[in-house]
Amino acid sequence: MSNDATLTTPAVESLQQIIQPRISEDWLAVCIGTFIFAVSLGLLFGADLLGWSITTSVWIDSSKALAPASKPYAALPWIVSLIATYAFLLVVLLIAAKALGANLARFAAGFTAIFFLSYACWFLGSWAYIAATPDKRTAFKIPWSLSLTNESGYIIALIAGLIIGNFLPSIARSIKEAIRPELYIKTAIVILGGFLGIAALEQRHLATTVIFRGVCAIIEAYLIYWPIVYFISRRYFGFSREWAAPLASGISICGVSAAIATGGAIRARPIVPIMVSSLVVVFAVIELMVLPFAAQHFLSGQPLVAAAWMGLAVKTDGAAVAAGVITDSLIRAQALTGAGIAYQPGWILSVTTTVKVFIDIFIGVWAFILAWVWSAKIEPKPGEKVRLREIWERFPKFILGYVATFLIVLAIGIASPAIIPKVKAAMGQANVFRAIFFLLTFFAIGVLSNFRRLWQEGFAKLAAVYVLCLFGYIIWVGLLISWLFFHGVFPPIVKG
Amino acid sequence: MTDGQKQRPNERIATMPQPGITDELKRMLTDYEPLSSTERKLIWYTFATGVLLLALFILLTRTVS
Repeated sequence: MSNDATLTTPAVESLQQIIQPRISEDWLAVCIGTFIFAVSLGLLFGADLLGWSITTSVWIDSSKALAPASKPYAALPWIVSLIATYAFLLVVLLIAAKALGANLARFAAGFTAIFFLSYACWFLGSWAYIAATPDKRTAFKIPWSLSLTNESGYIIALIAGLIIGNFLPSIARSIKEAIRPELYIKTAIVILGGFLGIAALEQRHLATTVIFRGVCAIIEAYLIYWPIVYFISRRYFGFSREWAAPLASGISICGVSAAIATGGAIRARPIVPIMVSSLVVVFAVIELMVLPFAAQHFLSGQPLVAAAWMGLAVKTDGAAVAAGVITDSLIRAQALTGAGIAYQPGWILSVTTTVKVFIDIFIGVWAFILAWVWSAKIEPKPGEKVRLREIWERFPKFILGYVATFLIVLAIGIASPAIIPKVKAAMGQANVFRAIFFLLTFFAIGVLSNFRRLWQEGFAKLAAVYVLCLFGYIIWVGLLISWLFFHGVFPPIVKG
Repeated sequence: MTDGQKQRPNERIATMPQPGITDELKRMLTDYEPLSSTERKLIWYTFATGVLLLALFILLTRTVS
């Protein structure tokens, strides 16, 4: 099998799809996220522009589960609200798809399937027997529940995606144009910045602590993870430099983005980071299915340690933030059940996202350092210089959107404390779309994770390094670092 | 020949008929290129900096809070 043949296999092709338009997707995520954020701020001027969007409550009577997000739209039938939400997102994403050069008809068909399948999963995950926390069982008149909160819908969407990706390849192919987890998660993260802004306004000291400790933790992740994984890959598995560097970055830092940035920095052939990325995607799903539940079991007494752990251990933005979402719901449910403590929702997710965002910021810096070391010391080539501009070129631009929404909310709140409740309500509406983008991400990650095909392509050796380093070193060092920096720091408790 | 000037196995492979990634991965053990002194420095300096910064940041977070 030639390299070219390897490149065109569907598993890798689907990964190329999320890799090649990377920069465009970053800027598009900024545009979509800030657009939704800006529209939600209409509430500050008395215009409820997103109140018609669909929300799902935990339900025992399915006819009462779905409703528009805000009271002025309460008379709107749920089906109209659902279709309006779908149509709004379809139009916005079709514009993005056009900018990405996608086939619009296929994108529309794929997105339609993904949206309704994902939302069905969300609806199912909101069933009281699955979602209700113990304090709500009496209200629902049910003797038991799994206490997974309605965010279990994300796990169901992931499983549904995995089933389609692994057992129904024809369906996976038919919707692949709309399988864009990177675009969805980055958009969600941009919207999430506004939520963090609200959290920072309400808990300024805690927010500052989280940001400072997040920075500390990720610097450690780069400097302690990377060299050991590189050493193990080179010394014990015999990988060449060209393979070992992207592999170390993929396993240590932030999966797909880091592997690609490092591959570019050391001038590796494109197939190398693509192969590494495919491994990263598969193992990120495994981590996503395991680590949040481990965190719930072992770290429910230290919620922010668990949160930082997800950010440091789970690779790829989508899977890490997804793990933060699940951990947030599982640990809050566990704390409520076991200790009667009701933590404010969103803080665990915010810590995971903060850690992940800082990791992303440093990818460009790290790629620059490696590019300099490679070009100056390891493989010097006459006349080749590393430009500082490469840091900017590799900078994940969606983070600008995340920072912008965070700062705008913070600035509004500081300038006019009286309107904080309105800003909070506006972020609540934007949050409806953030949740939907999360949902689309979970489903899309599942569809992309074609386990069978990856094994067929002979990834055993790469996988061996990955398993050894990830489960034998990174997860535990990540836990230790998270513990050192976040031990004893707790989310605020819900008043009343 | 310096560390940086050594011909890499992959460069040799690139001049031959492409055997495919799977074969390339399998053959890496036999074509093993040892760690250069620059790589060793990169590994250990990075790791040592990480450990030192870890100690420093822990101290800093404890002091600040």
